[in-house]
Amino acid sequence: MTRALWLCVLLPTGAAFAGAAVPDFFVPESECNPRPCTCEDAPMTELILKTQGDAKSAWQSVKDDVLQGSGPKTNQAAVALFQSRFAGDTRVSDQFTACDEYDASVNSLSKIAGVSPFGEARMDPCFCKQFCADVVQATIAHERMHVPTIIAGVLSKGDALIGCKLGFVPQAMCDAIGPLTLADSELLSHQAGMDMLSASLQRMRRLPDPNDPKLKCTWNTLTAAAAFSDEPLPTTWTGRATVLIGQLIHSVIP
Amino acid sequence: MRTTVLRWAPLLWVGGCLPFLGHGNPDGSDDASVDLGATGTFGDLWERATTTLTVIDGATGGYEMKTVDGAQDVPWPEDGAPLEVFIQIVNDQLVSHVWQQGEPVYHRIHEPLLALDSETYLWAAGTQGSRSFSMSDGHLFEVAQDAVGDAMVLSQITYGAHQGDFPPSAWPTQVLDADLTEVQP
Repeated sequence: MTRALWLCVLLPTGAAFAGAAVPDFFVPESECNPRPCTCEDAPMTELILKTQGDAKSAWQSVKDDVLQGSGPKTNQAAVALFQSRFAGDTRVSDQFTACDEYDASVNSLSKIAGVSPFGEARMDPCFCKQFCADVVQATIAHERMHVPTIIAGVLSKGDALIGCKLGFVPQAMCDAIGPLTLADSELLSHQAGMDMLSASLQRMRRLPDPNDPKLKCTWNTLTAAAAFSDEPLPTTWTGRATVLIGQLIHSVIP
Repeated sequence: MRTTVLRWAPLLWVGGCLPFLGHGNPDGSDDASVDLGATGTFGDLWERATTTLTVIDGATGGYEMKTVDGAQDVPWPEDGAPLEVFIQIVNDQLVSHVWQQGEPVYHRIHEPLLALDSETYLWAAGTQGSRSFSMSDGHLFEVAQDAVGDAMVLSQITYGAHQGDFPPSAWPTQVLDADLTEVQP
């Protein structure tokens, strides 16, 4: 069980799921201190929400394959299949690597957060610096969801596991239990993080716009390809309404 | 511990669970005596007393029913290390207390249940498979099914009420709580 307790978060970059120990330079939540999220953080928060949804869909496809009996037979193979189906978004990784202290030989997008056996979250300091508090909290929620969902998943398949141990459950089913448990945990963990990001965006929408406090926070979305990303944000109410409608059309508003 | 006559609770048709068992014992007899441990109520702490598995292998058409001797701890998938588990049903929640030897904490996981009536609960947490819990003659019974590909495992578990201290003396005192009752797959 110890190994499962040190699961590290998958950034929406398709990075590897290692299950390795959290690096020593990671800091506890009390020393993370990310900045509060403001309207300026909304586009990136929205982009991360979208990529988390894409990652969740990729894990669902892995799970579907496992349930059909044609899926991966090990956790490592499940992660590899997930990675082959999820590309992530370089704009998220670009924000991470823009950290002043970023060192490619030390900081890794495959490991930005983890949870200790005692339930304490620990984060890469660059992650704390580069992303606002709600994104960090969503990542912690994702991490914290892994341990109980993996344990609950194992318990729910406990009888099949007993049968596997005793040698009378078909090997194909025994092989599927690990990947299935992992996929279920990833689905629930992604959903936990997405719920927090959605709530964050709802809060941000109620904030005043930094350029015009009479307006509520609106932004050019990063999630709808080039439709809005390079255009200056309108200054009029009707212009902002157009942006908002565009976001609705592209289904980026939760 | 006391010995009582085991009579399986009626199986529910849940998520495709085959209604093949009905009343009676796994071996087909009706009066075999099995040690089910102490009696109790849903809110007590329960530990496995017996496990009966039926495995259907659609790929070969094979069908096998086995009554597993003893309590049988659930093995961790990666290394087979046993999990020590106690369950209780409180406030329409399945509360699982889980520890693996060597771990510095134990886990207390809350999952949602759906009360069908005063004696039967359906597990409402999973995205596939099914579990149901019922009380009969002071014993807790679980019926579960899980399927992957062509294979299906149907199980019946009986629980005896835990007698003694909790957490057990071998367990750590620190517990990590996890509430999965609001988690939506």
